[in-house]
Amino acid sequence: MGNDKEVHLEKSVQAYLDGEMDPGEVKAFEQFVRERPEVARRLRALRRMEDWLGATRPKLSEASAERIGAALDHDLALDADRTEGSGNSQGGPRFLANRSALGGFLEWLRPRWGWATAPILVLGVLLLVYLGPPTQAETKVLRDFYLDAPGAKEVCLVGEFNDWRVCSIPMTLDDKGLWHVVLKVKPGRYEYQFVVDGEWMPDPHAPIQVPSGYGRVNSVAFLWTKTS
Amino acid sequence: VEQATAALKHARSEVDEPRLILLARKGNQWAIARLVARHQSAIFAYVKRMVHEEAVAEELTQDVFLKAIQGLESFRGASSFATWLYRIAVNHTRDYMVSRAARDRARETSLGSPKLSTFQPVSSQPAPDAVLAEEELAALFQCCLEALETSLREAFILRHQEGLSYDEISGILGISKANAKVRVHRARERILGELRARGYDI
Repeated sequence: MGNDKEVHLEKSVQAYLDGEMDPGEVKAFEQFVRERPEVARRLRALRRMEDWLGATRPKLSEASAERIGAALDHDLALDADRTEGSGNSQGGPRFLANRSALGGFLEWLRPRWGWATAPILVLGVLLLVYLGPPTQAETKVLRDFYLDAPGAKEVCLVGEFNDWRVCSIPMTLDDKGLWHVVLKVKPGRYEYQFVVDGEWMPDPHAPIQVPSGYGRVNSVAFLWTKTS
Repeated sequence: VEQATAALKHARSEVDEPRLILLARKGNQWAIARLVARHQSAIFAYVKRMVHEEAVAEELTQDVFLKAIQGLESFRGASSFATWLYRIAVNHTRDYMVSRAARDRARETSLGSPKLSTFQPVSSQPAPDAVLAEEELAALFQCCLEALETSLREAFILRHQEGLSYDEISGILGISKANAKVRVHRARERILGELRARGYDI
């Protein structure tokens, strides 16, 4: 009978060490252990040993990792050469088919996105280049505005960039006899007109003209890049 | 937060591992390097504990990965990739230890050299564990571990150093879960016996 008890105790010790007891059983077992110092000593010894094993888990040094990587590269390259050299085309993995890391990485990337989306990606990149990176949204672009208005006394630029306030952007006559101003604004699409001696008129050279909603026509300027 | 990050990382690695394996099978060097980088420290830790010598452990780890990569075709994904790698490591280490033992025996008979030194108790009085210095304790534990027969040592290291479940251990060693438990339990019994024999007060 004593032997049965021993076996039962042994099973309990193992279950306890393996964390396979429910909280009630753990409590009862720990209570029992408190009254049995010899069992407590055994448990403590094993716990210390197991903790020691975990705490002193061998670590792979960076140098070792590098050596392992280099040796593998070398062995696999030999492997690949042998496969190629033997003219054996019946299969089996051909190692280092993709010798460049970038190529390998692209291959890993490919089926997730699919090459079909590549044109969209390219367009996106082009658009980004065209617009400039988003962080540059705060930067301003410069654009020259010219108007040929012989005999005019006062010419101003008005538009969405100055909330259509008349003559907050006066133009000056340049040496070629053209009215000129350099506009410096945030990138964007702007509608504008010229005010010549109090008379509103669209830009005759603007490629795009749109109805202003008041029976008149606004010119449109796309100010994305610095063109001054 | 750290735990969550670790869990997320783990989940992500679980997801893209099959893809890496697929590409590695086709010879994608980048994928191979990723797989090696991900698992080499675990494999090294196991092997190093088994064979003890750093340089040997490094070489065996390298062999394990070479074998794994060359045999990727035979990985069917029935177990996890880590389990599969551990299995190769266990078998390869076992082979190495058998050949080393044979070499040692040959050398012994030719040179008549004595057996490797073993831990000597500091005094004939049983030492309470609290009195033993950390280094002494480490040496004592090392001896107990080395005294274990290979099959028990494998199971014990996988369980308590690598922190694997009995399911995983059974997969690695190719035995039933009950059998894996028996091995770890037996290892504990042996260790207690060794500790007692070496004067550790139990």
